[in-house]
Amino acid sequence: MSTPLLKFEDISKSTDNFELNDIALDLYPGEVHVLMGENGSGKSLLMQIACGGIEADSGSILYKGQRIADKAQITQLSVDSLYLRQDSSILKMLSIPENLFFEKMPYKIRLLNSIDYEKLNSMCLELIAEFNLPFTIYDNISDLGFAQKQIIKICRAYLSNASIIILDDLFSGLLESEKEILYVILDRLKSRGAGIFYITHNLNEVMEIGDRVTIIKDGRLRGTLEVKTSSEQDIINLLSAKYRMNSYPKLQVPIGKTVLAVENLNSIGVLKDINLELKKGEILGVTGLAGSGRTLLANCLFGFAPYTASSFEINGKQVSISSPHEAIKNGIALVPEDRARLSMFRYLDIFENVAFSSMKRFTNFFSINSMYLRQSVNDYIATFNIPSMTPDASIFDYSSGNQQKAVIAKWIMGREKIFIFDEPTRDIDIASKIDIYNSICNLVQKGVSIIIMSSDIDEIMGVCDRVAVLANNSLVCNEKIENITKKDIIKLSLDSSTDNA
Amino acid sequence: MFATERRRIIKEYLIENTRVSVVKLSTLFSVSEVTIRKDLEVLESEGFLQRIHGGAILCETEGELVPPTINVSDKKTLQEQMYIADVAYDFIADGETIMITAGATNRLIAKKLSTRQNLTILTNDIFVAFEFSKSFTNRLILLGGTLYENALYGQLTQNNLESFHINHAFIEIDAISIENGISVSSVDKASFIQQAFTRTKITTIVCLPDNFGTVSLFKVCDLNFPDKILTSQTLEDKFKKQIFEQDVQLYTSMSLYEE
Repeated sequence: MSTPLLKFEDISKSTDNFELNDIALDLYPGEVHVLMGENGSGKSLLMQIACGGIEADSGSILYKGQRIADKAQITQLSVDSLYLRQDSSILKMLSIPENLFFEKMPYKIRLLNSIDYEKLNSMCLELIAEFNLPFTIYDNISDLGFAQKQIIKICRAYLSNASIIILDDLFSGLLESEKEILYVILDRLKSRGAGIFYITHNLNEVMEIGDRVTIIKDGRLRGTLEVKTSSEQDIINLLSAKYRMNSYPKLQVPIGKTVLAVENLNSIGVLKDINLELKKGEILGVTGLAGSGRTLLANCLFGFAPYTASSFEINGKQVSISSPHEAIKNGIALVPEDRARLSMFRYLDIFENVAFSSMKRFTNFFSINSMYLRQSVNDYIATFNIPSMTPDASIFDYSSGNQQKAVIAKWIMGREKIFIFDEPTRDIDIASKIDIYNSICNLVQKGVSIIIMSSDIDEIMGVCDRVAVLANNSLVCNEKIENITKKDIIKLSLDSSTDNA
Repeated sequence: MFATERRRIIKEYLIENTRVSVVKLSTLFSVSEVTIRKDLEVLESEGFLQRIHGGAILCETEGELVPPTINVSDKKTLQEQMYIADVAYDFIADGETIMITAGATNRLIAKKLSTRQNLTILTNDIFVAFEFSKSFTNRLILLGGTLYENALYGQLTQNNLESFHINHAFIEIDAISIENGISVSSVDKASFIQQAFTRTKITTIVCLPDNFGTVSLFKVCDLNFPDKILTSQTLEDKFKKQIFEQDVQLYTSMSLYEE
C-alpha cells in the first residue's frame, strides 16, 4: 500500500491515571483499523492523540508522510480528523437536517448567515433516500432512539471532509438491520480514501468490516492482525493472552452460608430472570460487555433501579429493597462506577464524606462528638494511605484513586455486610488499586460478602471466588474461578452478543 | 456500671487477649462508642494500653503478661507486625505443611497461626517453636543446627530440611529492592532460605516497609522470584506499583473493618 495516512512512532504519554507506552501504529487511506481492548486500556487517550487533541510526551506522529513538528500541523491534523464518541452530544436544540449538515450549512447569502432551508431540507431528503435512513426530516431530535442518534453521527462523518475518522464504540447495542446502514456508509468512506479507526468490543463487527485489528492492553499494543487471514479464534487468543496472572492479592478465607439470594430478578427489559446467590466471605465477580446490564444489576440490588423479583432474601429472611435507604438498613453498600456523581458530597470535606454513613456511632445523646469523629476518620484515612491536604480541601481536589478509597472507607466505617463494587478500579492508579484489593481482602476476612462488577477480566480472575457472565439479558455462567479460563469468559460474553444481533 | 468497674474489666480482657476493639467493648457493656473511647483514652494516659485503629493493644512490658518472644518496646512496629500476622492467617488452609523462618514478624505470624488446626509447622526459630509449644492441635518440627540469635542455621539445618515437602513458606528477609532483589544479613541465612525455596510450593516474603529500597549483605533471589510479598500498608506507593508490575502478589495489612 501507499504511504500511511497517519503513523505513530513510539508514542508515550502519561496522565494521572493512564500510561501509554511506546505505541507504534499506522492507518492507511481506505482502511478500517479496529482497536480492541478492555475499558481503561488507553484506547480513548490514544485516539485523542490521533486527532491532535492531546500532545504526546514523547515519540512522533507522521501525517501523510510528514512528521508533525509545529502547531500549524497539529491544527491541520485536528481539522482533518473527526472523533465521534458514543456519548458525544447531538445538538438537541437543532432539527435533524441542521444536525446532519452542521458543518456544511447551505447559505442564501453567506455574509448575512441566512440559511437556505429549502436547500437544506432537499439535501437531507436526498441523503435519507440514498441510505434509507430510519427517520424523517421532521422528527424531533429528542424523540430519536439511541440507534438513530448513532446513525446521525455516522452520517455526519460521511458528509464531512475528514480524512481520519475515529468511531469510538459507536455501535454497540445496535440491531443488525441498523448496522447495515452503517456498513454501507463505512464502505463509502473507505472508497473516498478516508482512514477509519474503529473501536469496538464486538468480535462480529471486527470480522465483518475490519481490515486490520489491533489489541491494546494496559497502555501497550499487544499485536496487530490482518482480519482476512485471521480467524475469530486468533483474535480471542490475542485478547485473552495473559500478561499478568499472579499479581492480585487473594486470601483463602473459608466461605460460609448464603447471605444474599435473589430469584427471578427482572428490570426494565434489560435484565431477565436473574438468579443470584452470595455466601458469607465470598467474592462474586460479574462481567459482561458494555451495555450488558452490569451497572443496572448493581443498582437493582441497591434499590436504586426499578425491578421485580420473586424472592429477595438476606440471611434467609425475605426483605423488600426498593430504595438505597432500605438497602443500607439491610447492610448492603454500593461503590458506584460514577463515583463523582453518585457517591461524593462536593461541599463536604473528606472527613464528613467518610463519616457520612456512620454518624450515629459518634453521637452522645443529641450531639455529634466531632473530636472522636475526626480521630476515627483519621485512622481510616491513614490506613488507606490517603494523603492529607489542607482541611478546607473539597473531596474533589483529591486524585481519583484517593476519592475511590474515601468512598470505600465510608462504607467500611459504616460496617455494612454486603459490598457491591461497580468497576472499583477503573481510571485509578496502580498503588490505589493495590490498596483497594487489599481492603477487599480485609473485608472478606471479617466475614463481609462482596460482588464485583468489572469489565477487567484479569481483575475478575485474580480477585474473585466465583464468576458470573452477563449476556443476552441474563447470567449465562456461574462457575468457580478455578473451573473456568479467561478465554471461556471472553467467549461467553462475545458469543451471546452474536445471538442477540 | 461505674466507669472504674468498666475499666477494670477492660484491663482484664486486654491482659488475656493482648488486643481489644471499641465495637466489641461497646456491645459488651451496652454503652456508646464515645464512652468506650473515653475509657481507652484514660487507660492510655495511665500507660496501660496503646490505642490503635478501632481499639487498643496491651502496653505492659514487665511480668508474665507478654510472652518473651515478642518485643513490645517499639509500639508502632509491633502494631504493624500484628496486622501483618492477621493477613497471614488466611494465606493457608487447615492441614497444610508450612514453614516459618526466623524473624520478629514471623514470630507474631506463628502466634496467630497457633490458633489454627492440624498444621504441620517447620521452623528454625526457637521462639516460633515456643509459640506452638502450647498449641496441641498442630504439629511442630524444629530443625536442628547451630544457634545464632535465637535461630538455627548451618549445614545441619539444611540437611534436616532436605527431606520435607512444604506447601507454604513464610520467609522473613532483611532487605528488598527492584534493582538488587531480596537480600539478608548473613550467608548462612541466605543459603538456608535458598534451600527452603527448593522445598516449597508457595513462598511468601515477609518484611516491614522499612526494608524496601534497601540492600543487605547477601542476595537471596530476584524480586520477582517469590509468589507473594506480605508487608504493612504504610509501604510507599512507588514500591506497590513496581511489585505489581513484576507480577508478584503484594499483600498489605489493610486493617480497616471494625467488627
